[in-house]
Amino acid sequence: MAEGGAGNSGEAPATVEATMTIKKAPRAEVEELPKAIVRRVVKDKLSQLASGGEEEDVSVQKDALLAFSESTRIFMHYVSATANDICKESKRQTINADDVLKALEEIDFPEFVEPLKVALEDFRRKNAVKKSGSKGRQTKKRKVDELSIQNGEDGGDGSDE
Amino acid sequence: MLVGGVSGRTGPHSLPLARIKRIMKRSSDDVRMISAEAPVVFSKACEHLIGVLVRRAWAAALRRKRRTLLKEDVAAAVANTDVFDFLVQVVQQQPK
Repeated sequence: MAEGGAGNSGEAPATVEATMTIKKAPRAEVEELPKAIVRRVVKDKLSQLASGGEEEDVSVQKDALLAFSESTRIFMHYVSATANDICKESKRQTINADDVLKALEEIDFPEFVEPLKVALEDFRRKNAVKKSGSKGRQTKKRKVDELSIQNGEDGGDGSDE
Repeated sequence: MLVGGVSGRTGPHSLPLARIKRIMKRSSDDVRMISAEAPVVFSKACEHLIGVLVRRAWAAALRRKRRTLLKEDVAAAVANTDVFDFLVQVVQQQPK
């Protein structure tokens, strides 16, 4: 009794469900980014690129601007959802900057991470100055672990490392 | 806290932090709290994304000897870059 051997010649089982990797679509509540700001960022980058003195020559079609805006929005949803997952996995309730950075690595944008860390340090430094109020204090680098947005206050003196 | 929702222009962050926070909250059903720093990092990340997209779209336009960025340049940039797969739907063009 030879079983029908090689492969599925003839009758292919019809139960192959093509698993399309469609990610669960995020709720289509369309929060848009302000167009003016997207346009400014785009123009900014362009003038850096076309810095052969030809920047006046460069224009961006409206549709292209929309495409940039949309892309950024989708990017944010994607990164957010990923960061949220990462946060949940660590059993925390607050998405922090680290989660966002890890999310970026996960979705294959590791080259963003370094410059973002720099920007983050910058922000922390400025924030620390603001919080300490008087200029007399030294600016300490605080470990901001779960900084909830709900309150403006922080819980007490930051523990020093 | 910097995320007061006031920011239209917050200098170093181009994108309004409050808006970003809202978008983050809507990305999943169970997002609870977002630290003050997360939108900051996000804002910069978006700038970077736009930067990469612009650069590639610009290269596409140059290849076609144009000085105007068209949507098809953005589409080309997305198509040529693996990590932008998730953007393919966004820039879908009508086939010519």
